[in-house]
Amino acid sequence: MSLKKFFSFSVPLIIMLFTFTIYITISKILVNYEKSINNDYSIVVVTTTPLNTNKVKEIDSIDLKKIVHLQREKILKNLKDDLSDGSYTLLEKKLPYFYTIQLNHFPTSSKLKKIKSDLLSLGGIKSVDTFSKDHDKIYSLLILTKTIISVLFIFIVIFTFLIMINQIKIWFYEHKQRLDIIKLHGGSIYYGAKPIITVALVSSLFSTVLVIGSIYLIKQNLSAIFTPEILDIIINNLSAYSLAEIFSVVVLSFVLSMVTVFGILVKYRIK
Amino acid sequence: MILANKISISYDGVKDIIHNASFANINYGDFVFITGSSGSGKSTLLKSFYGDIAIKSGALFVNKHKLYNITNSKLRSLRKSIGIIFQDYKLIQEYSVEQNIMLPLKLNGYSDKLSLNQARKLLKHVKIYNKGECYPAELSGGEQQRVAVARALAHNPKLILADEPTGNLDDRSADIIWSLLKKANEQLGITIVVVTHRIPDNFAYPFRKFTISDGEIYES
Repeated sequence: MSLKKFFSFSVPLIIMLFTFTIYITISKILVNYEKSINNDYSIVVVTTTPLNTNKVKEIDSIDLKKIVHLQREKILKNLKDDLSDGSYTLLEKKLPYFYTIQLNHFPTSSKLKKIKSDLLSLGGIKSVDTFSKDHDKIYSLLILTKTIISVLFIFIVIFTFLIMINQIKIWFYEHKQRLDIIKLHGGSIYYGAKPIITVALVSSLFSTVLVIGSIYLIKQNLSAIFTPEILDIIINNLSAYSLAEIFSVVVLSFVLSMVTVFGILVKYRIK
Repeated sequence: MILANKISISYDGVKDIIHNASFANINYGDFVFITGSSGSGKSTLLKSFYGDIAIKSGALFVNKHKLYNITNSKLRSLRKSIGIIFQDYKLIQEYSVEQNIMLPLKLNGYSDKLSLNQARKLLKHVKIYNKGECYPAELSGGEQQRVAVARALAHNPKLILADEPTGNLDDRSADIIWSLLKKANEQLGITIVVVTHRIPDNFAYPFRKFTISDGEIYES
């Protein structure tokens, strides 16, 4: 197995696996960050009549966690000393009802707009404040990054796949005479292609170990790479990689290299 | 061993190179020459014996394998059971001489150790014992063909097919190859089928001769 052949297989695999692990990492950070900001987030609804919670539950766009009714009596009690009896009686009659709605998942900006319009369509709603301007900018940035990485990952998988197909075709071209002789002596195409299958297997193993090792090293040295602002978010939200996540990297590397090699072998066998 | 009844072979599916030809069975232990003028179809006929060219019609049996519409796995099994020698040697350039001879043994499932021992014995037999670790490019044409003969003998086949085995060799090297083939036939009882445009004048050994002419096969 030549080093050139080995690296021409390994390099695209390494790039693809790195992109995949970055995608996993950003997803993990995003999920945890979303949980933490969601705990501090609620929508405030002001109504003229008591809110029918069942109607709110029926709205599809709202993934409801809980509705909290802000006690009017408490508000009135706080104001009682500063008002005359007449004003207090009038305020008691006119003061609207206040509710905070907490959601299970932190919504996107577009979803917030939909929630607001759905809530306003209910009867008796005076106003809805979604605090959309305070919608977390870092969260939006993370979503944008995740989307870019997802698209990039798809392109890199296709790119890797094409490069590997090309490498295997070149290998077949270079070893045509050997394959033909083996075939004339009753050997199967799989027997003849043992060297390229070995290259694919070793490259896949090497790439996986290198990427997992590099990610581990990067995780140990985050402060050397990221600015303190980003570092806080990463440290607070990046949980340890699960076995399933590590396994998915191994499987992706193995499956992609094997599917490419055997795909081409089957094609040659049919020919 | 080889049985052919009304076989037709064509390259393009239109014009038959061999047409509706039959010949008496080639039996165990026969030494057969197939001759004919250039382009008569003698190499084509030999190729059909190991399935490199499919017969268009008729019945052809080689080593109990029916060749008409043969499946891939049966074709592999047929090829593993015979030895083939080519005019251009067809040695694998990336393999050493020993590895080339070991190929049919490995394909037949023999262990590395056993295959290597057998390869070394055969290297002695073809008198190039000291060239085992050389690569084909380092050998002369005669030596390469001796490696090809050793490879054909490696797995003790009952049948060896040879396509112009001395076509690229000088007289001395050709004599060595003929002598090796005679020995294989005489001492091991291997059936030898050789395609050649000319049977050597000094070939003092009993043989059968098939001639191909105008798509027909005649035995003389």
